[in-house]
Amino acid sequence: MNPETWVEQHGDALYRYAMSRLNDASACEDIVQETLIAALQASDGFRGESAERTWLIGILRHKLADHLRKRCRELPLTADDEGDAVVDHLFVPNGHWRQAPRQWQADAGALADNREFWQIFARCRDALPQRQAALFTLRTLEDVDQESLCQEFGVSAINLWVLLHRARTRLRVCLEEHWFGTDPA
Amino acid sequence: MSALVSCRKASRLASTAIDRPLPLLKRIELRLHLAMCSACRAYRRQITLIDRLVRSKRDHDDGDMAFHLDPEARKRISEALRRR
Repeated sequence: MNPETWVEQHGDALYRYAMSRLNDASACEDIVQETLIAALQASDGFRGESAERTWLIGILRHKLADHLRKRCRELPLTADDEGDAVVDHLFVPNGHWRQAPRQWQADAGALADNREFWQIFARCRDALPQRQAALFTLRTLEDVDQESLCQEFGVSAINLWVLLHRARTRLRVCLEEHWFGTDPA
Repeated sequence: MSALVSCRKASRLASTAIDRPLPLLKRIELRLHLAMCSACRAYRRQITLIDRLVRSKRDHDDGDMAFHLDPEARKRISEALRRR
């Protein structure tokens, strides 16, 4: 193991991993730096059982989750907890859809490899209220379990489901408008 | 559309069902609603697709190859590492 070469060998990969979860260049640079410093201090813990890259990514994931949590801790609870106008607007007062979701013509396999799709997706995710974006990313992309999310974000289980529902609903509205809406469906 | 739960509630149940198994009663409520409501079926397909796509990225994702660590940041990080 040679920390001298980490930035050269793994810098871009770590940075890309962070950017795919948090589209904020300067925050991601900081996270890469924190990751490598933590790795240096913990290098005794590296037993060569996993590839160096995998080990570093593991540390990066913790740093990333920490970062997302801290960001949200500074937010007033009212930032998205008092209701969410975008979601409210989708339903009429009796709870029916104001505008029904459409059938998307989608090939999941092709979309997964479509770079343009992920760029639109990143834009839609970045447009979410911060807490919703953080919870959605940690739940879906990092597979953090319910108890940890509730504890670390200081929300009840009910609140967590509400916020994830809002996040998904806003994402689908945004994708329908900016991606699937262009289909001749 | 079901008289039992509204679309708003059904959409929430469909979202929660992605994260954990629903209790029996809720599962029945959702199933009855979906059987009668094509809009909520479309909603569920959409959020399921989003979930599946994002999860598929999780395990084999190299990120967007267009992203590179900025040379300045590279220098800064190397220096920070050397100071340790």
